[in-house]
Amino acid sequence: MSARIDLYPTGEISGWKVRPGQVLPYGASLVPGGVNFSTFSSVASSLSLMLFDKASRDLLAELPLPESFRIGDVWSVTVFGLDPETFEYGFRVDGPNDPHAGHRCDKSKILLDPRAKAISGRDSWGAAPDDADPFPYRGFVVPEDFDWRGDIAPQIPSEDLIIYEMHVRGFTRHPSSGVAHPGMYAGVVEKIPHLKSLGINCVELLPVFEFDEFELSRPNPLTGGLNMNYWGYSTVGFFAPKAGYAATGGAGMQVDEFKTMVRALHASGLEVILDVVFNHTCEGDHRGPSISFRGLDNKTYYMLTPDGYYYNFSGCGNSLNCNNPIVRDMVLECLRFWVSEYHIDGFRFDAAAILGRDQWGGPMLNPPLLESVASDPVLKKCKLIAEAWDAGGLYLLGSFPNYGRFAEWNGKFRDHVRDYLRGEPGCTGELASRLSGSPDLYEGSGRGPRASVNFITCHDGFTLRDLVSYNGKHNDANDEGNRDGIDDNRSWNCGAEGETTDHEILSLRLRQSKNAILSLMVARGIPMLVMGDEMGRTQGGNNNAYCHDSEFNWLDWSLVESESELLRFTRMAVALRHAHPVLRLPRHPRGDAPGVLGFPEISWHGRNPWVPEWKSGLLGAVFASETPEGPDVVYYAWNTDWTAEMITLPSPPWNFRWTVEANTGCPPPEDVYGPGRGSPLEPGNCFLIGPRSSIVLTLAPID
Amino acid sequence: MMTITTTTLHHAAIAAVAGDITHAVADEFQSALLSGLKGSDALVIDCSGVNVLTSAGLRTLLLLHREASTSGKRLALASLPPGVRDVMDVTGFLDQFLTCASVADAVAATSPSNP
Repeated sequence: MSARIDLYPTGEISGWKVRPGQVLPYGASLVPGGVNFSTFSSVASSLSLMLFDKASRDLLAELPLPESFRIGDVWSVTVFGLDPETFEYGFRVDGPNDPHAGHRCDKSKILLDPRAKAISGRDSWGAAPDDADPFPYRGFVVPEDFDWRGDIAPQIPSEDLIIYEMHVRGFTRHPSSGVAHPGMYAGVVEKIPHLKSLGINCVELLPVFEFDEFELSRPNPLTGGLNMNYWGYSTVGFFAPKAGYAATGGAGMQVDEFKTMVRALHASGLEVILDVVFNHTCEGDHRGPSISFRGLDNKTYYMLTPDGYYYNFSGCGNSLNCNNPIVRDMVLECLRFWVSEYHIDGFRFDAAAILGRDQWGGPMLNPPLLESVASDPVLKKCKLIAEAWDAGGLYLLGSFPNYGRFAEWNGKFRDHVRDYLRGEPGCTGELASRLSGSPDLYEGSGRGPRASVNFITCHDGFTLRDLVSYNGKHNDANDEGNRDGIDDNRSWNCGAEGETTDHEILSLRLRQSKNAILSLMVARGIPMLVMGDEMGRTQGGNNNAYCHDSEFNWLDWSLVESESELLRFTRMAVALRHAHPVLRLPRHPRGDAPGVLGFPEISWHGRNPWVPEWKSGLLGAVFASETPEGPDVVYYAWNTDWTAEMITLPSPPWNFRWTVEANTGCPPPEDVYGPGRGSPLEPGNCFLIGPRSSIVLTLAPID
Repeated sequence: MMTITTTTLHHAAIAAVAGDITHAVADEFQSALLSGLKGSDALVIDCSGVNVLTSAGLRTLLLLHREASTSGKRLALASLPPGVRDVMDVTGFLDQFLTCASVADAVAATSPSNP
């Protein structure tokens, strides 16, 4: 017996038993006895559901929907007797084709459902596509039930997060990973012990919505391979996980495999943030293919110029019209979907400044999309992180419309810490601001340091090892004449460009890497590391490695052994942050606010205590506060000069003494000790800080 | 295409399943195994002949497992082909089941005398 009184066919179209469908939810949904389809188009004069046989990929049937199957601008149909595991589907839309008026309907095209929850066509990463296929990406239905087994989101307070940005494929694709499923969601699960041993508590995955790694691919004569869309910042389907990242993608089981990965990460105490790309789609500009949105309702989905061309604020050909009420509903539903169905803990919004633009591209004071996302009940506990700029020149760092909810990738932290790291004069004051959680950016809006995702490197640009090994970019392998990638790298090669056998240079690079990591772990805000920076991953000086699916981009796990010193240091530096709540307090420290044990919340020091030397290359800072775990005082100093300096530490209160926790100027094991294992400082409070070195000391009672 | 051959060994019903366990045969699969479960203390599914186990097949298997647990009976999967086992593993289903290398092992593992 059917569970509903209306689940019976009322007619037949093209040999299939059908009835007018349920309008909501959009997309394809399993219903008892069949499948319900629903999609929106404000311009379609007619719309057909196209059914394909999954195995042969042949057209099974075209079902033109009668006008009676349309409510408002939404077409829906329930088809009975469909085996959900053997068909794929799309839509054919007839309607106006007048590009200058913004309409690009084309009934010769078969279109992907924007709400497709699983997409075939790129099931197996790198498998050569059939360019003659008129319908390359096809939606299919998947069971949406999943046994989460009591999965509980870690819900780590933002200020306690340590983010690890990773590429799903790059993380384990290298043969040295030793996992059973290299490059896959299942591979990530196998490497959870590495993440745990590192001490990070959140992974941020580069795009995992379905994309086409072959988009704009071309032979690269320099590498002998293909330039591909390896990073994936070009969405084909917002509701479907990348099938090529699933060991079971060929069997259409990517949804289960993805959820299994999230469940395993959660079980290990790790949060999962997705890097999401809502600023544009894979359809490119007016020369691009008609895959989904443009054929369904071009004028609704895209920001168009008055003569029907695409505004290109993304640098990728088009811009999603995300503050249109219909599009913003789609984006909001998408985010809710990933949180409720996939238990995702947060999102990093790529080129998010576009999400604050109106349909003409103008920046909005109160963008309804961002307001909706910020206040949505399903997303209430999600981490929301904006890349607060776009390729159209809108730069909103510190002023992103945030509604008290959005954090930002702090580009100023990256730039100023890089400057200080390379010894650029006049950056000491800026370093102090960055260590304080960037109050110049985030205090005014009341967001505090939780709004600041602190990073020195990210997927975009140099790796940390390359930052200390190259003065300039070396992107020749991209086959664009080294013109691509940014020039503002603020890097320093430590004395030789690139590979060298000079022991002193190598030693300095290692020390500089430690200095960078230590600054990240000390600064207020949310630190973010990039996959492999904990063990010196290099891209050979390439600062725009978006296109290489090769060992160039894959994490080489032999670094665990060969870069064990940096890996050990990173683990200990992360542990130091976890052990000292004063480094993670969710407010900007104030110099005029009482801290604890006689220190203010923050104080600045030079060679002499309490006397900061803002024009020098030496900065000392004492963070001191009462915390939920007791009084906590941390001294941090970074000498970026060529010469060692004798510094005098502030006098500890009676019955306390300074304990050395880290000193990048020392070889291991004295470079970092690990929580509770620090080395007490001999009486005298003097400390020789080495050239280009940084130190951390904590205040501990004398036993 | 799927076939099920049912026999009994000691306390257990043995269901030898061959072919593809898909949405198309899920109902048939479920009712055949449920009746095997009703008449015995334990159900051993001999999976050596399973070629394909789809999303719907996996879910049917898990529901059977739950049904067995609810009624205080044991269910074991025997002789899972490596490919099927791997799919179950990465989709998070495998560790819900008692799996055994052979039917004989599964019969022993589901014995009432085996706590």
